[in-house]
Amino acid sequence: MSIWRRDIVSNLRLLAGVEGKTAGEPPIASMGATNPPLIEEPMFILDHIVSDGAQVTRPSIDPYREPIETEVYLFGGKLRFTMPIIIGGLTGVYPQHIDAVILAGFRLGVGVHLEKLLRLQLGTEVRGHVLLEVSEDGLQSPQNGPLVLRIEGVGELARVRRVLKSLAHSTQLVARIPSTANSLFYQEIVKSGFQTVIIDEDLGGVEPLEVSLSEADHMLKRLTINGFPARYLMGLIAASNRIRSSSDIFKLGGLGADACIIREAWRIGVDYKPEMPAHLLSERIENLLIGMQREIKLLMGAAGVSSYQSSIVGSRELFRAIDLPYHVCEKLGVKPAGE
Amino acid sequence: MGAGFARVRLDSRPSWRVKAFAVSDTVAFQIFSMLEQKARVEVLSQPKPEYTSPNGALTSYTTYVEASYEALWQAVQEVNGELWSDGFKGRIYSWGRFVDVYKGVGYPLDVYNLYQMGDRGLEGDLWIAHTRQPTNSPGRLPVWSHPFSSGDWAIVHNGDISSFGSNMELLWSLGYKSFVGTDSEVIAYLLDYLTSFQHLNVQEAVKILCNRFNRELPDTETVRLFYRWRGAKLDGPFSVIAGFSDGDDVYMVAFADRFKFRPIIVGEDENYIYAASEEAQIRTISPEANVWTIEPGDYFLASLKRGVIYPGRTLHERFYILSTQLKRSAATKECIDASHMNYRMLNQAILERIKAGAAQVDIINVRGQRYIGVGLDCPVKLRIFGTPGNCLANLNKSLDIEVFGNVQDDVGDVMTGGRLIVHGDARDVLAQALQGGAIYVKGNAGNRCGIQMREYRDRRPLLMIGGRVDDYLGEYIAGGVIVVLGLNYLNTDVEIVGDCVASGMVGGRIYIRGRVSPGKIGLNPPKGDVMQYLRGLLLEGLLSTKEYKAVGSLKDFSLITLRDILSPEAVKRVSKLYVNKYWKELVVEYRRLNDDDMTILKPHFEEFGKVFNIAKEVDRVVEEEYFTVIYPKPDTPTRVEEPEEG
Repeated sequence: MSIWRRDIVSNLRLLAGVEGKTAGEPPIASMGATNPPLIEEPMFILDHIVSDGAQVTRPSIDPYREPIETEVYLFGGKLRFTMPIIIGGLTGVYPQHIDAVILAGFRLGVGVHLEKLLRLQLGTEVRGHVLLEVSEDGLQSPQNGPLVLRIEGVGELARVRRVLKSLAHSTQLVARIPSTANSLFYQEIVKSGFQTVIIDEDLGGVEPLEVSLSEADHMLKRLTINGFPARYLMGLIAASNRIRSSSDIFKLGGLGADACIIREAWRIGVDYKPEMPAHLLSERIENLLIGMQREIKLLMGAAGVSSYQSSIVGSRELFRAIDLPYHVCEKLGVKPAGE
Repeated sequence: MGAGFARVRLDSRPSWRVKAFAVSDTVAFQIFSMLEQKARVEVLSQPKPEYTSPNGALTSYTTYVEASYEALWQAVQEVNGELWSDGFKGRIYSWGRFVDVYKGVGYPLDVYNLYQMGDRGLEGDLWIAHTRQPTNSPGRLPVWSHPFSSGDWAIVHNGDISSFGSNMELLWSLGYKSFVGTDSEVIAYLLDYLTSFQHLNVQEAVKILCNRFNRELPDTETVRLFYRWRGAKLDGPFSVIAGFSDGDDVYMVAFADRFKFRPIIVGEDENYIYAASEEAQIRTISPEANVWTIEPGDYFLASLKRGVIYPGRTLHERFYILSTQLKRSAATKECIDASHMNYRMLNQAILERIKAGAAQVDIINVRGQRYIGVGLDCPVKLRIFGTPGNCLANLNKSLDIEVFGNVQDDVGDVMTGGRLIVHGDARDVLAQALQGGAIYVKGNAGNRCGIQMREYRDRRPLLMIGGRVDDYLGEYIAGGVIVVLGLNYLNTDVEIVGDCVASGMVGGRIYIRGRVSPGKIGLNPPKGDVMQYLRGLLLEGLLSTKEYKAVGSLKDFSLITLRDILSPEAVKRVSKLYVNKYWKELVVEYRRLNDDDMTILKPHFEEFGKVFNIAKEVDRVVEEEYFTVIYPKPDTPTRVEEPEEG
């Protein structure tokens, strides 16, 4: 079965304005449960996690009339993204569309992850929002904006550390690693001075993203930088082709992700085609992001929460698991429903 | 039920007073010997039970120890960690040099008697008292009662912290090992950790917990400090009162969440400083105290040696109620004395007077009785002297109520007729879903006034406020009229309304004296997001540098402001950030009142001037001042969708 169930695709396309006439508006499906694990077949651990909603003493918040903050800060509070979403998966995107995607992200204050140094002619201002992937040699040349280093094995880390030592500390460094809960990875990453980690399921790894993310979040909380829990000085980003919706992002947030890189989801949402005009692509991305931000606000409001990064990220208490084996619950730090 | 007290006393003995609950003497001895073994903690005295445990429940034991704070803190974590995993045999619940906590299960008086607090002649520089009806945590053991204490902090909390999970994550990562599992305790731990181990001052620590909206943070340095301590920020509903001593001074702190979902009020008189959930509680101790509320998301700080350090609201925004004592002489001799009456007795007494044919009933010494006037449907005048409790005049149909004093929260809720006159201030959620009749308040009012007001045929409710109001004035308003005059703030730069005025407005009218900043009307996206979007348009050449700079130089703006500056194409693009399915365009006018306005308002202005004896002032303001008038843009006929070609 495809992970892109019809209703998931339709939801994204309604948001993007590919279908329907209410672009950017969260579609209303129905009252009650329509989702996995009870109604639809669960596909991932995420599908077993539900948000523990607001109740009488902790009222829900209406995001259409009262402020709810979806912004997240990265790099020690120096970089502000307006929502916990980063656009990735641009490798399959045609060169003439790259600028349109980056600019759409830039306008909405959303980061863009470039896996390859593609033709990037945009000004330095835009580059501040682009997480640019470079090789170790590329590190030596001055760049404006965060630099991403792809590290696929623990063995590479010692070498990377030597390279990093020769660098100016002002560079904003991101490590992109496979989905792993191997503590050596995280120890080395903290030692090496990376300020952000991307756990990327598409790079492989032995653990599902949910588990490695949650364990990484906890490991980084136990590791310290100058006596302070490293996690609170660092950013943690989850990336996968299978992040399908704002509710996936919201739940991954609960497991510790400051932000999520979406790939397939936005391409499906905007119905990406090589021949589509750049302005149409740009408009649809904008609609999709605004719509997903509104959905996240609705989810936050329903949980009685008004600040994403401080109240949702890593806040497992706001979530419960249904029909998930106890040992998985323990790894995630999420209680079974009813507890 | 749970209740408790905390005492902060500066001249206490310098060794640490450690208090633990235990099921028996044996467990108590175990706890303190564990404490001794765990760290370099020297136990100075044998644990002493503070009372005889009724029915085998937990007893509180006290002992004194000598240690560095770090060593003691570490030992407490380990002892509590072990005890907690071993069932409810015992727990250390307080360890401080200047803070002493007395808590238990029952009503406050039960706990007071249990600890024989009266007989012991306890004295303190600061006292905190708390009672609770548990909603989210069990209440059968005293470990769940407030105050919660950590080091020389003691806190009491009202609310339900939705960031609890995040706060626990931070505390775990900092080495906290054992929690009783209620959201409230994290507040004590966070404040203690930030001040004792991170050496932040009280103000810095409290500001982090208060968690104001990002857009209100003053500079990037604060943004980064708050980022680093994001696990210590509180979310969801809370109001907190805390006591703290650093050995040099004793501090009282009170703070409330950014939405002001819970009440908090502070006050002072010549001798004391107060903080409470309700004004009536302060009036019980000090009938003449000056009282004021804290701004949403802000805090109040006072100390023994320095008095009020930070009031939580600028001085000129406060409004002091006139002496209630003075006004009481105006009451008739046949008045009801409410001194020793609960709300049922009081409403019964009122009903009896009405049945006996009274056209006016005076009540004196009212202090916190709730639901006054609820369920009485007769056109009688009720004059209240004192501080009536919450839910005054709820569902009122025909009573004409006049209050000589301040009123508390949730007053005039779903009132359908009659009148309410308040000679002082009103607090939060005044006139919620007001459907008829009129409410006049001479002083200030709090958060969420006039929300969900509505009108039906000839029933058109009116809310008129002489002072200023906080956030969410007229949220979701669907009908009726709200007037805010800000009479005390003429010729000052005080904004007489808070944020999100008329958010979600679909009907009715709001009049606010003076110019309201455009960004305060409705819900606007953060300025940073709009500027970011405009930078994008600048890069695309859809915006000139001049236009971009013109917007950037504005302190505050709205979509209406942007329309005056930007090209229609740019406005169309950026309006995506403002407009959604539920958004309704508001008309905002800045002008003098006209004849149309006055047909509705004139009789009310006259009454307002008359009842508060300020007719001249009101007349002058009505004639000379400019008003911000807000109402929803009338619907234009819906465009018929043309059938798609093909």
